[in-house]
Amino acid sequence: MAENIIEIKNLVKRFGSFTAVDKMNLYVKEGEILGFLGPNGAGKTTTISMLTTLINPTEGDATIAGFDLRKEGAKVRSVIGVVPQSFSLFPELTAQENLEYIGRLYGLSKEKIKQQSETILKRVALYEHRKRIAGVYSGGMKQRLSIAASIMSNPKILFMDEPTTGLDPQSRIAIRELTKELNKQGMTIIYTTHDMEEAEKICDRILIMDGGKVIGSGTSEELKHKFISGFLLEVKINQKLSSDIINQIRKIPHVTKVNCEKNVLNVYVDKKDEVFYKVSKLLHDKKVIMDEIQYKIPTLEEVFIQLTRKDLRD
Amino acid sequence: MAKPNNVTHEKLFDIKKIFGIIRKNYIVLSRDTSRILPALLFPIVIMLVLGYATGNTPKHIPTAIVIHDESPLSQSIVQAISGSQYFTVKAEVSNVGQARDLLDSGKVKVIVEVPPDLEKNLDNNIQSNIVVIVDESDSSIAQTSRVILQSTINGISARLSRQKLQTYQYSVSSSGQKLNLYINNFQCSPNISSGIFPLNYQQKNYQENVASQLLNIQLFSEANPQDILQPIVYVEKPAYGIGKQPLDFVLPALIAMTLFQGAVMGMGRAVAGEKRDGSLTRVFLTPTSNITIITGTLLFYIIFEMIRASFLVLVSVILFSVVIEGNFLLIAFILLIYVSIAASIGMLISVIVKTEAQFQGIALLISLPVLFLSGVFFPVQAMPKLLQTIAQIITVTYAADALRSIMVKGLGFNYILFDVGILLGFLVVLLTLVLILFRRDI
Repeated sequence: MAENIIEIKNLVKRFGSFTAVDKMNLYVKEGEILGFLGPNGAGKTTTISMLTTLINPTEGDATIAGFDLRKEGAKVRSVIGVVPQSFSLFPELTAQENLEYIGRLYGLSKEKIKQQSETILKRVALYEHRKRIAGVYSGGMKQRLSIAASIMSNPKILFMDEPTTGLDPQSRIAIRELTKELNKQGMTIIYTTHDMEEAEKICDRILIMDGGKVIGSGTSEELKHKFISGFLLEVKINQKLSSDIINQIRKIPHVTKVNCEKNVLNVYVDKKDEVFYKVSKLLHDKKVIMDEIQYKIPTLEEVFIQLTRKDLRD
Repeated sequence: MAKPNNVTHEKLFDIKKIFGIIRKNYIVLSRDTSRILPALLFPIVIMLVLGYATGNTPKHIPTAIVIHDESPLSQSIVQAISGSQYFTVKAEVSNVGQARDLLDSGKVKVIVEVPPDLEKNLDNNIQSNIVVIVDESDSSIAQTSRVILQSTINGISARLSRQKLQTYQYSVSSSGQKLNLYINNFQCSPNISSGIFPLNYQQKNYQENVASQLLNIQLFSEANPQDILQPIVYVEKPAYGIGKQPLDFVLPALIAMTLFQGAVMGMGRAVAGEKRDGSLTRVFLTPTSNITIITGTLLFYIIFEMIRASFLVLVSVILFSVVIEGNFLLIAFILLIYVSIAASIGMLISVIVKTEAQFQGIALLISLPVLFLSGVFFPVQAMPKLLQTIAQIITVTYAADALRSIMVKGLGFNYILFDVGILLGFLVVLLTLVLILFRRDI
């Protein structure tokens, strides 16, 4: 079984009287992709900033690849790579020069820098553009260069803070594939995102944070089972249902709630147990034409909303 | 498609929208107090500095007097100078060498040499020169000293000349009267030197009196009229480098100003600018220590400004035939410390501020008064006491002083030891502050 590469115990970060991260406990297994979800202001970026040594924790302890976060900041930095939310590279330098500079700051040898930057530039499909200054790159190219710079040192752990935000679908897909590829090579990845579908697609485990605390963690299936109770039978019909029919559906055993909006009938059940058959038979008998009837799989977004509620965040 | 409610058509000149834009900009500015404060303070500081630091004539200019005798006339000259509000006599010495040392070390800015036998020369109707040596590297001080000393010495000279002429006038008229008396008393040919007649006591007395007056007249008539009209002459000797041109004196100031601005502002781009576009964050994420980041950044700007200084010196020597007196290595050494200080000031500001705009405001607020108060452009002696005290604290003052000492005066290392000591001390303090305040938190 994989070792914990990150362990966090009671980590706290306060800014004055505001507590951004509140007694956080978590672990990250070596080789996994951990999705880091949470509404704006949940404390994700503050946590990442602490784990990447950009800010000091107020309280608590953490070890990153065996190094003490508080005491061995420089060692921590030597084993991690970070793709920050913003571009954060030198717009006046070319892609090649940016990577060479970053490589040098990691203390790599000249040969290593040359070889590594060439490999990485090819990998992020920027080799052809390596001699253009980064400032003129498109958003997707900049983000790929940012990832390239973050993996120059071949880090054990890669922190990616919303790497696909604001990018076109092609760039998003490319970055997801690159992330998976890096993970396959053994890199542990902490992936922050607001895109639930993306988190489901690439993350081995998901952690949901709100109000500075971890409020849920597990695989996406585990989260769904843990936090969404019951099932939803969705029926697409071509007419409005009478209240009589709706009342009859409500009387079917295990049905907990029924609503019908426009041409969609939603039947919530606590147990599947012949509900599918009974609903479809009833509608058939009442001569209601059904376009589609299926149990809807709960989404991670529903879990997320369930956990973090719908109210807008400041 | 329906037109959205109340949307006006685009006009070429829309007053309401212009007011909207003005209001928005007002709100943006009013939210950033760190920009407002420098914007408001800057003109006030400049007014204060320019008004007080440059408007006045320098006073209490430190002066050395070389005096060779204790005669009343020499003393009266010393008193005339020391009694003036423009000069403070720091030393009365008996040889020029001693005074020269004081001038070289910057302790005095003017030397006044009262010649030996001044009184004797006056008695003999021989013109004397009072030699004045002025430190031209401080142009305003030099100018003031020149004007005041020239008028003081000419005033004394005119007074002495008047006294002489009055004596002459008295001699002529009194000898004429006495001669008449003499002739009337003895009713003989006024051959006073023949000694044909035996003379009684009174006659003898008359004779001597007339003889003395005539001798006086004779001395006068034999003397060069110019020597009588101007018994004392103001003579100025250049302190450093004969035939120097204004640019020679301006060059150190020009270098000091250019490098200071360049190094401070350069640091703004390097740190505050990289903070803004996030590239500094990337550096902070690598295993690179604060000292390494600070040193690397500072060194680049120090090297860059040194190249700029060399270029400036080269151009001024080749194109404007500027004469540089001192050792080039020594100049480079002072410039190195000076640029390091300027860059460290820039670094310190940029580690304190959050945005590049704040940096520019504060940098401008600090660097311009520093330049004006450092004595680079206007002499510290011309400033009110408070500003003089501030100038003592500002280290650029010491750099400008050391640069002038080497470039204009051609002095050696031992003359600038004090300046160098202060500068190095300040550099250490600045770098320590930078190290303490440099944070990786973005």
